[in-house]
Amino acid sequence: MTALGSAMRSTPALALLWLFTQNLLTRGKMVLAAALTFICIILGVAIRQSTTAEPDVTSVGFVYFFGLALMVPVLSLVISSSVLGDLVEDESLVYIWMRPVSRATIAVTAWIASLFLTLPATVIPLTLSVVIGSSNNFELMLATAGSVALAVIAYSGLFTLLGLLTKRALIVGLLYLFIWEFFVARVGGGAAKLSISTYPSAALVRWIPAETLERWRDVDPLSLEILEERSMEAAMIVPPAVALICVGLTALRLARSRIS
Amino acid sequence: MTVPPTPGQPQSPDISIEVDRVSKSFGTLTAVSDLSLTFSPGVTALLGPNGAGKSTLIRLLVGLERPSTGRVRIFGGDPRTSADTRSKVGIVPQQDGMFGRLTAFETVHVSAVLSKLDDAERLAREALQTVELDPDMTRSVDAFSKGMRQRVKVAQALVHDPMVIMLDEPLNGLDPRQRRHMISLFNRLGSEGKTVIVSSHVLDEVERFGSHVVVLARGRLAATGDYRAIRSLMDDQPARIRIVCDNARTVGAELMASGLVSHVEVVAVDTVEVRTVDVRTFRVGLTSICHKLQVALSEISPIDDDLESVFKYLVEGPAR
Repeated sequence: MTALGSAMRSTPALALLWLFTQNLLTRGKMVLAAALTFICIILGVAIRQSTTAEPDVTSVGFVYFFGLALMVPVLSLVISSSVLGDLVEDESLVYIWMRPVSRATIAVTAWIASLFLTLPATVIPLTLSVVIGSSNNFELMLATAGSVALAVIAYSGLFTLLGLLTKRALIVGLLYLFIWEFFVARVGGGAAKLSISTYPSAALVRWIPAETLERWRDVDPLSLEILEERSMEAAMIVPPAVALICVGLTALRLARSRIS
Repeated sequence: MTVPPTPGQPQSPDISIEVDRVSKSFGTLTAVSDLSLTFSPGVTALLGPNGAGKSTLIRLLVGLERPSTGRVRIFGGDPRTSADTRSKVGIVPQQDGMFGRLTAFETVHVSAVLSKLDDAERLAREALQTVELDPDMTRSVDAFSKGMRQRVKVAQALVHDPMVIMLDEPLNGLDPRQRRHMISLFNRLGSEGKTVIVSSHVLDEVERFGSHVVVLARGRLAATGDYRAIRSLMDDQPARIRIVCDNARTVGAELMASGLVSHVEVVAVDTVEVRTVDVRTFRVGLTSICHKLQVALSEISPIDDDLESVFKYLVEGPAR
């Protein structure tokens, strides 16, 4: 245990990553991730067993409406906001802050630690639900995994910063998600451009098989119209750019703010 | 009120920390006001009642707070911006929060690795042994008593052998034996040339850290230096002196009549306590009075040159 643990803490960046991950692996978060995985499997089975003639479209709809719009942002919020937020809350951040480690290293490792947990907790169950619910379409699985990963990359950066900015990160984050991402941004236009979820969803739309896309258009033309306004380049670039900016702001905040 | 350092404490004239006209406000509350002082190697006790600004000063010293005005330098560097400066500092914060899910060894080992130490594992073990904790304990810090957690905090502060160590109420939660051990550890670090700043409001403990004090009152510097020297500089504050002789009442009456003392209290048949502003003249006068009255004088001892009296005077003002 000690040898493995020591190896995992052999450099400052690895030690931080190990420390953040240890702090994140609480029973509550594990239960939440397990429950969401269970829900995804159950819903995948339900889609498969349903009488719908379009299991692929239903599966994509599930990834779009439940996965990218609800599950990924909420789980990212719960995990990422607590990476640094919990350390601010229990005032243990001082033990990291006082060490001769750059603020950028702290910010980047905090973000990577939240990715370590959020990526498998979202990509695996949502892809699994598509595997179970769809006609076992490989492109659909890749589209799901890719778009979910893009969303996690952006949300993890944003909510890592939020956890450092406010002690009420969960409430502020939920208000942001429900008011901005779920309602305002779905109206389309300029608001949609400023919504994170639009871009991974646009990537999903562009990665799914053309046949599935056309069937989806028949069912929900309005959503597709908004998503297709985003170019593939924007869908690929904006989420990492959001993460990069937020990680930069996290480092800046660590350098400038008072540390509890 | 500033007095020169006493011999042996601090050991070197080098200034390790410089506080230059530092103020810190939180909204309308001014926690620290226009503070200028320096710290040198050796143990310095940071004193003050609750709310005097001790913790804020420590946080300013290590860079956890940005001064509203003024500046803090540790070996010439700014601890807020210089990683090199921070590598020379160890801190034991007052708050209880730690990485509760880690073991003591993991906590100190992470601190050592973050300090970029070559042999982090060995140094972490040694730091834990210094505070009398077993590095092989498998319990997480969350399951520790307050005293054990306090010792882990001290171990992580010492693991990188810092030149400056700041300890905010480090004896909280320790049993008497551990307190003695910690006090002796801090004194040893001070005598090795480290700058050790210990904040406390428990005066009888502080006296055991040595005599060099910084006293804060309402966010301002009330005094700095050797507390016995500070006492001797309090010319406007009458010194309290106990006299043991074979006729306390008569001696007391004669002293009052002579004008050598401002207050006399006979506390026993053979003991009288007096207050005088001019101790030197008082001593000469007392000897001649006892000679004149044929009274045998067995003891003259100051009763308020202890730290508590100095502290009370500085913080609360002169006794009435």
